[in-house]
Amino acid sequence: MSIAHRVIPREYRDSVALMQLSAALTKLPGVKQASAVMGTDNNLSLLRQAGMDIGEVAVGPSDLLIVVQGDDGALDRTLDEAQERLSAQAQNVDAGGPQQIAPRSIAMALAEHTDANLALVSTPGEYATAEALKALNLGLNVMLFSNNVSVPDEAMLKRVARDKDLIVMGPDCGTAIINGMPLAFANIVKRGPVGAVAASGTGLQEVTVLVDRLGCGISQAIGTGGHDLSVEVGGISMLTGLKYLTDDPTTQVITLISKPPAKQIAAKILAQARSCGKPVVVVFLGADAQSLTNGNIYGARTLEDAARAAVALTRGRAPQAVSEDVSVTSTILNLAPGQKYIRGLFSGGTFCFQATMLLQETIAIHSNASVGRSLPLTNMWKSEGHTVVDLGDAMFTRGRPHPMIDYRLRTERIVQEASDPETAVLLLDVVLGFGSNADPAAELVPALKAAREIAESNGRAFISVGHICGTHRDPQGLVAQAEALTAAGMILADNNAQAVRLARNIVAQAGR
Amino acid sequence: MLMHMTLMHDALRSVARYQFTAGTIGSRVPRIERCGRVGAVFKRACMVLLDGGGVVALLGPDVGHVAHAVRLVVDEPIDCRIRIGTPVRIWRGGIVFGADVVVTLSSARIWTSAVRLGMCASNSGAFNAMALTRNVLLDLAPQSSSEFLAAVLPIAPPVTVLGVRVSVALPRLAVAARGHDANRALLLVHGLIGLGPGLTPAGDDFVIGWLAGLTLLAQSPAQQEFLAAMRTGVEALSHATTPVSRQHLADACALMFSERLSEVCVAIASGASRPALQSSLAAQLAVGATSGADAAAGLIFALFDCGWGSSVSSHGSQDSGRASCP
Repeated sequence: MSIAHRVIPREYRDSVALMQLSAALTKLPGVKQASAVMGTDNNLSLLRQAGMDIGEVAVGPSDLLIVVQGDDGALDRTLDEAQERLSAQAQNVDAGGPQQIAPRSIAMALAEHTDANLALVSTPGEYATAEALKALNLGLNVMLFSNNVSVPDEAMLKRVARDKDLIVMGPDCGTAIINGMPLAFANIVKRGPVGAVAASGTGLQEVTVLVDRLGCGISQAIGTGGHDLSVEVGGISMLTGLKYLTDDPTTQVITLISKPPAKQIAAKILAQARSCGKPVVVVFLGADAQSLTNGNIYGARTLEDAARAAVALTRGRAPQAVSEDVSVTSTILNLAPGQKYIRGLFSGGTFCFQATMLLQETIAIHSNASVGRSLPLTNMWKSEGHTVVDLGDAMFTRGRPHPMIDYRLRTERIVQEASDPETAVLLLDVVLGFGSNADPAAELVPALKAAREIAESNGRAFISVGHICGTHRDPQGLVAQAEALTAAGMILADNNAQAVRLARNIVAQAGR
Repeated sequence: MLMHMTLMHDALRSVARYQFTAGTIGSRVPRIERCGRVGAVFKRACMVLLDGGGVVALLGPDVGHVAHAVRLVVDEPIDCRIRIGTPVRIWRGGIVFGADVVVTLSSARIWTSAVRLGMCASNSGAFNAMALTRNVLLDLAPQSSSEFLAAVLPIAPPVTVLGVRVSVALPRLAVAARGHDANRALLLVHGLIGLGPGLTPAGDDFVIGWLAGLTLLAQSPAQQEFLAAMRTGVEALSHATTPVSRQHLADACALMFSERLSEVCVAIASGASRPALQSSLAAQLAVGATSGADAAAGLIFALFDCGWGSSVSSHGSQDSGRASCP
């Protein structure tokens, strides 16, 4: 492992550009770590502290310094790549002269695309309300990707939208598929007769993916944002989405997905669903599925149940209960005596929620997803007993992209869990599709290998169970991802619910 | 004089293909003829490095002001008109970029920071606003990647080399500030100057926020003497950072803090309500990648961790136990 550096005199870039450059270089083959900083004494000392000592070099605070640590053969190539990337940025800036100015407002964009009927708003939360309002006033539906929009603002926006016969998807709406177009975090699925409205991003992804895998397809997938079914907001977007799908001739079966809504809101939604004239599958995770079933409404317990029921209904069949039996072969039960706990590390909030919901039926579970009887975590950074963690929680995403994009936190935590002699099974999710990490297996496999080495060198078994939320058409490639992960020893279940049951059964059988 | 400026204005307009109009001009922008070149250009900002040292910035109308900047009236992408390396001439009536672009200054108003020495020292209403400020920052901090904010609040254990260094340095700096030990404090500040990536390294932003916080609270002779030593010392140490950041530090040492940071300080000093503080802090945290958050960390560190808050509590606040951390 060697270190090389390059000094670019009097080159000024903002910290965002330099942090992005450092992150991109670190991902290049043969590179262990890379850093692009201004050449101040303190940054040089910081580099030394990080193991990238470049000795005495002629560099000053006005100079940009790029330092790379890695394989000998990779260093020059990486430094060249860094300079090329900087040049490309500079060319963008240096083009000079009159240029076509990109639209700087929704009104300007609408003037260029007069047939547009939807605006995707992804500004910081404090500006999002104003932008969404502008879009609504221009007659546009809104997908509000931004989070940190207050609930009163959300309610106001949705009331305005309803009065104009429009819909606001969000805020904090991460997933939608409109007219076959995946928006934000979404998978490439077949078009077909199942329509969905969801107050849960990864819940919507899981259902649309499973519908696709069952050979069926999606007409529209409408996100509402997680607060839509609160009393304050009143389920306005879910009711509007339900109406759209009711009126949509291509939608034969409607699926509604959410964590348990406020009681009166649930009643309102179920009342509208009952009168819509189409079969409606309802999965309110954590609610009693049986009590939801009534007339044209089919209650589902898990996301898998919901997808299977929706597909069965499009084929004119009655939904069948999904078998909860998951067999565990004896070959994976060589756990050491102290290995007794499940450690779930999730990037999808709804996967964590569903895992907590299913596991707490039989075991005491610590989680940062507050579900039913789940126990809080004393320290989110350290597992205790059976633990499942939503790594998309704001506590973990400070200064980092979402864990569906940036796997670093999770890969570090995988190794941390493997070092704990009480860890029996690691439970993971892998989300493919637009917006997600370009190659999750490439991120996870080294961590899984390192974790296995740690466990086995201490006389323990290493078991990882997971599922992939993705389709064959997703850019990352379902098959390639599955092959790489299984080659690294991960046991892959078909979906989140099955992975959770498998992990639970492994621990239960090992404990006997 | 007026005629001279008008003629200059007309002359500049006649040679330029593009004209920007300045709405405000920072109080530390040189008013004598200077030359330089463009060092960095962004969509809504441009940094001119002056020959012989110093920086003048050109800012879009929505960008928070700084004392060494000229702020434009109309929002137009600056990077479409101005290139890195372009020679620049500053006149009393305008700034000329190469042969193509002129910024007219003749109708610009002067902008200056509203922060004044000891603003919070005799103001009991400010004390509760300080506590609110910390609470609001705790709400907003998870959206920031500032290692300094994470260390000061503290909201998470350090995970990077920078984070570890910060978490070690700050408690020592707090002790030095409490004891008014200027030499020790400057030694520690030296370790922060130029620390972090980018045009304004995070360590510099933190120091600027810290100076703002100390300015708000400085009341006793010992505090004022310590602050004076910091202002002199930091300016002397600023050679260790980037030219752009050096200018920001020089402004701070002259108690000319940025508009966003000044708004936070004024909100605290006026005992503003939580929504008002939230609004000003959100704007401060939106500055740069982490610059705003790093400066906010410095501010809150000065208000709570350096033991100077007791000067506020002695003036009648009923909430005195919360101003300085143990």
